[in-house]
Amino acid sequence: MKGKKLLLIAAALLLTTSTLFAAPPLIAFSVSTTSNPFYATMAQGVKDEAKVLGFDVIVLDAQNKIEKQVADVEDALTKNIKVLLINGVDDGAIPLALKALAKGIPVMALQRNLNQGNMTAFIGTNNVVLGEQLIHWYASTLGGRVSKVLILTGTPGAASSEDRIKGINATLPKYPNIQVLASQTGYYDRAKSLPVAENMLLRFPEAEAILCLNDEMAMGALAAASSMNKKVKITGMDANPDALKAVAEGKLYMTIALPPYDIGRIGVQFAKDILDGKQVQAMKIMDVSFVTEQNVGQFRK
Amino acid sequence: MKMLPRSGLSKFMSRYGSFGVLFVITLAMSLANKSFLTVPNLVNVARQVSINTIISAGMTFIIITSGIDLSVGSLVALSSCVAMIIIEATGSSLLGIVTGILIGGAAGAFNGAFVAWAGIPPFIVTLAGLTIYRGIALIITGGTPIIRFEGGFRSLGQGALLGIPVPVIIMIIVVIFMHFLLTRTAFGTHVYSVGGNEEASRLSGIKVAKVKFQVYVMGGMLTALAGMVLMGRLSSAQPNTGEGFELDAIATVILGGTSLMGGRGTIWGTLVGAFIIGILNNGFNLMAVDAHFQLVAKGVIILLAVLLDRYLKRKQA
Repeated sequence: MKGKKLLLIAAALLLTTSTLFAAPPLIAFSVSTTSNPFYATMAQGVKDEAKVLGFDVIVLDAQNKIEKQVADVEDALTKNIKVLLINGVDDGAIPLALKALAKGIPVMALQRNLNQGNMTAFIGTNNVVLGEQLIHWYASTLGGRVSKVLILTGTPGAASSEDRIKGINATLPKYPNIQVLASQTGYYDRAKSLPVAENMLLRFPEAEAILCLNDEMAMGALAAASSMNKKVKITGMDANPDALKAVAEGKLYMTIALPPYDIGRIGVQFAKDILDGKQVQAMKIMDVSFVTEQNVGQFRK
Repeated sequence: MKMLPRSGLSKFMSRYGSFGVLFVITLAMSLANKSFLTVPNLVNVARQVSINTIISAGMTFIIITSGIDLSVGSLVALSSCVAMIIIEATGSSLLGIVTGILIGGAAGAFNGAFVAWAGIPPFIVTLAGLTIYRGIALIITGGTPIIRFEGGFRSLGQGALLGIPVPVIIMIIVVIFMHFLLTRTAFGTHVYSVGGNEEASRLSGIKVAKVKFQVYVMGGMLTALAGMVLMGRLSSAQPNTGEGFELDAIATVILGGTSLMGGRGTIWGTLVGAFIIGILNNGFNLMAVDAHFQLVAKGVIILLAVLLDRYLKRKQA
């Protein structure tokens, strides 16, 4: 009995020392939830790139619970990780990241920006920039021609919606040819945006496009347009499967695809750079893709 | 209001307070916006209030028995998801719709059984229902919406007969049927009686538990019917749809003059309440009122409407 225990301890010691000296460096990715395909894809990007760059990686799924994320990261910090990649459940993840930094472990914040400036780097998209890019893109389809548009915004007070609106409003003055007839909330919800879109189309039949701040509302606006037999360009955001289908069928004008896979990959590349003693960009805002009928094929799986 | 002569109109308004409120709001909206009082927009409003009215008709019965149903929003999602799964599997819209409505009845029976026989407060039972039905809808769909751009079910939401949208026709049939049930049948009398004085009803031989059970089953089926209309409107079934529908329905019933304490209320009032809320939403969109401001304005107007309703009724008394 005692001999067996001793053997176990010896084996454990051997294992730890071999990890310390022989095995590839270990990094951890604490992700908010992998039941959301967006973050599952991000985790896949982390794993794939870790394999390429020769890291061992542990992926910790917080299941959208901050208390689980706290436990996950505290466990990880006892495991001699070299870099912490973290996609926070909410701002409760900030103290976690600071704890890692205090131990001298670089922290990469993925998609959720944890208190900008303190982290080693942030990699992800930014909703203000997304709003700006939407307007730049729409303007680029017009070629200077005047266009009257309607806007469907998300849940009032939701940070993502308010930030996207901020970006839109900051960019509109650059394009006087884009005239916003009205901006109303569809609460990010398909059923709720249907009547709102109907009312707006009735009031402003001259509208050429409805720019929606997510795909759910774009699908609701699509139902509204079809119930009123109106031909109007509708754009969404998120590249949901059914929005992609609608784009492929020529019903939806455009949706925006975010790059979760690349966010994960670049997170690992940055980790490698840091460990090699190189500088990394503190704030890496990722480009998004505008998905239209022409290029939708490469986004559908 | 004192300036008004006691004409037929003002008598009518004071007898039916909520009609008065509807009149004032309609007048205000027409003055504020030239596209409000047009046939296409009124048809549009009628179509938009149909889903809430169908749910609220059932809710009226439940509230008259001094109950409440918080699970309607989740049930809209569950019934439409079940219906869509059946339609996808069999290709039969009719089979899907019938099953969807039966699911509504079953969920209503679940609510009703706990309220009527287990004696658990309706608020608690249907709060549990709210999370349970939402959960089942998410489980059976794996959390993703089901889209279908073909099939007869879509005519429930998108069709029209003689220029009248099908959702509006369904709403009219439901309102007339429920009004008849409430005012011209023994069952309707029992519903009022149970809400007015449960003990007295029991002593006079009314099967109180059975009446309660029945109003929840009926409410569940009507909610599911509304779910079928929504599914037709959107050509899709979504596990996360219908959030907050319970609050709209309750506000509608109260605006219609039904007492939360039970024993008092009408289906006509509920129809008027639905139009008050529908016209507010429509008017705000037409006038492009700022989203943040809308939230405040809607709440204030609902409060004022209930106050005005009371004032007009007291004047009548």
